[in-house]
Amino acid sequence: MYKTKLFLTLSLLSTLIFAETGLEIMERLDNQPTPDNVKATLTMTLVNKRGQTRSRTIQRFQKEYKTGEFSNKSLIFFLEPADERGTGFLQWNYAEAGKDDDQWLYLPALGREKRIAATEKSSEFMGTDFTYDDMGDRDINKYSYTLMGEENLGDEACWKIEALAKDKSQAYQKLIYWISKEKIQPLQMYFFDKRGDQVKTLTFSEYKKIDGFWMAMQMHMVNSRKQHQTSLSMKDVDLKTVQDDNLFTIRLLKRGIQ
Amino acid sequence: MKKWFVLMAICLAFAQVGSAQIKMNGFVRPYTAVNLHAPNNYMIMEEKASITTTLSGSDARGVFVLDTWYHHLTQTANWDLTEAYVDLFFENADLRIGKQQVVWGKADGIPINDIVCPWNLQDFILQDFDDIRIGLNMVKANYYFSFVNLEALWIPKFHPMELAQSGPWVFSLPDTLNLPLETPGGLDNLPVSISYHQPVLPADKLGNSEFGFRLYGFNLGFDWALSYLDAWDDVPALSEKQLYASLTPAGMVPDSIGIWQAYNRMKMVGFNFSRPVLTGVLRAEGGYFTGKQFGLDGINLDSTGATIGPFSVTKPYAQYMVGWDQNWKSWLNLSGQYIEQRILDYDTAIQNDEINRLVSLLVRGGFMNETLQYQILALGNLDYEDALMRTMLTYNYSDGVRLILGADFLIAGKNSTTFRQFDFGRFDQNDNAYLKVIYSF
Repeated sequence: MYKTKLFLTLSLLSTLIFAETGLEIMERLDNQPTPDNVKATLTMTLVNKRGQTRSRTIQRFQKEYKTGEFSNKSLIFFLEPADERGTGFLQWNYAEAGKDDDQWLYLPALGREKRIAATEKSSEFMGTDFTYDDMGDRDINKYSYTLMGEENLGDEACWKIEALAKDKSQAYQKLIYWISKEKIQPLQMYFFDKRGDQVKTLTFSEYKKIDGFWMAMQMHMVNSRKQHQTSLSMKDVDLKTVQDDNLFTIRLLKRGIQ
Repeated sequence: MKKWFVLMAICLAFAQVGSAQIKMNGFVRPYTAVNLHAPNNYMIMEEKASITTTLSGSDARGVFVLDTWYHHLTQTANWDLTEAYVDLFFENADLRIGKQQVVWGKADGIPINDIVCPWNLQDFILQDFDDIRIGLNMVKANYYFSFVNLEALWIPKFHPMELAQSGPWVFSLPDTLNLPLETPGGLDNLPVSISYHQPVLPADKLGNSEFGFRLYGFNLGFDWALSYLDAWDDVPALSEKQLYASLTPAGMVPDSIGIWQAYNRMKMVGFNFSRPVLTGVLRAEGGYFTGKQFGLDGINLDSTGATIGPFSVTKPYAQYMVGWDQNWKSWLNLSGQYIEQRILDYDTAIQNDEINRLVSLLVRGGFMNETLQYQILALGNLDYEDALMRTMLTYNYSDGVRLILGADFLIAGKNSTTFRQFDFGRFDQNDNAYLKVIYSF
């Protein structure tokens, strides 16, 4: 009896001493190896509350920078629907903490690129339930984290972490993450607005290890307020081809990819 | 010349991209507009089909945009190869040869630096952006340095702004002029009819070609450009007035005036930039023009009754714009602009006003995940106190099918007797509602 009590006390102590904090887990997530180069075709299927569907297909290029001024750069081209074809979106994320991204949108009808303010990142990405912000990397320094406990999602053991925005400029004031303990990848996220209402749920599924990197081939965003949802599926993933720096320029944004 | 140029571009494209990938896309668009004033005449009733064919190779591309229309009101069909060009891509340079549209500047809807391609005002300024610019045959080269880029263009043949020759959007100028004349009863205003003569285009020769440069880049958070254009003014200026008189028992009495216009060479030096500031984007643009001609008021006669010049005067001219874009939510985006056009070193005899100030406000957004989108554009002239308000509701019925319901309101202010590109008051009887259905493929 005494030994059992001692064992339990030691176990609890070791848990307290060695348990990771929410921030440490998020830093582990943030430090997960990510491919330096990504080229993929994404199909987003939009479903409204009456079950009507629309779809958008985009081609996405992304390049990570380990050193220097930039954190990453991405370039997106719309392939479908036909009336959006040729639309492009270029984003430069900076390594310097707190420095706003630079973003440009190219609309073929306008014939020129248009600068977009970083605050527009909270806008819906071409009518989907994803915002421009959701499509990019989230700066972990803009939130504070608390480990809420552990939960299973399906068969996977997860850490459940609450993230609270450090300032009111963030589109979401609170996020809850379910991070797979095995993959160190998110499996689910809840998004809360400024009033504390849960507005969106994002689930990640069909994780595949491609060239040593975990990639969620399916993402599903449900906007509970609008009763609208977007499924995002990824195909033709290429992590090997080194993307040329010249790809992530206004020149290519306007010219398009051959 | 034009046909040869286009044919050459097509041949070059096929030669360059022999193993090319061919893509075709486009749209079909029935479009009906009705005048909101009784008797509610139809203003537009047409079908348009546009097909863009792109032949892509690894280092070259050929693009052809063929537009065809059928106009029910005139029962005519026509077509135009609105763009037909070949792109050649090099490591640090691009070359585009053929009929193409070039867009310069940061201003929305108001051409300040964006004067390379003339506008088609067949439907005033109410056409879509890609329809309103007239593609020109030109050679355009871009060279990309590490921090700055250079664009150079050469336009062998001048093409002026196109005005409606018939229909509701004709820019009709005054057909009579009150001429002050000495009569037995004192000074009296005698109405005299005016006959206008079409301006003659500059001869097709190398010396009359147009050229320009643009230096542009992205530095310190600014998208910036400096531009220079040596070109013909798209709008002709008064070149001569001739007074015709008839012999009557009372002597020679003037009965008509002939007015001639001419295109003039001008130069433009411009700048523009945009930069995110706080929660929005600041845009500014300016252009300084030399060689621009302005018509003069009045008629001077010599002792024989012949008109004597000068009929126009060359003055420096400036246009500038400052604008702000603010996007709050997907359902509320605002964009405002203030534009000023100013004749420098002004002479009171000039027909045009010294200052012309315009303001624009664009409000747009989308609902139901952009299934329903709205747009309200208000464009007003502070000096002539006239305005245009465009309202538009777009319903994205399905992927590739859009229904657009809109109405344009033109509000009269003070009358102007000279040509103004944004003369809303002139068309205050052309308020209209329209429906467009666009199927894109």
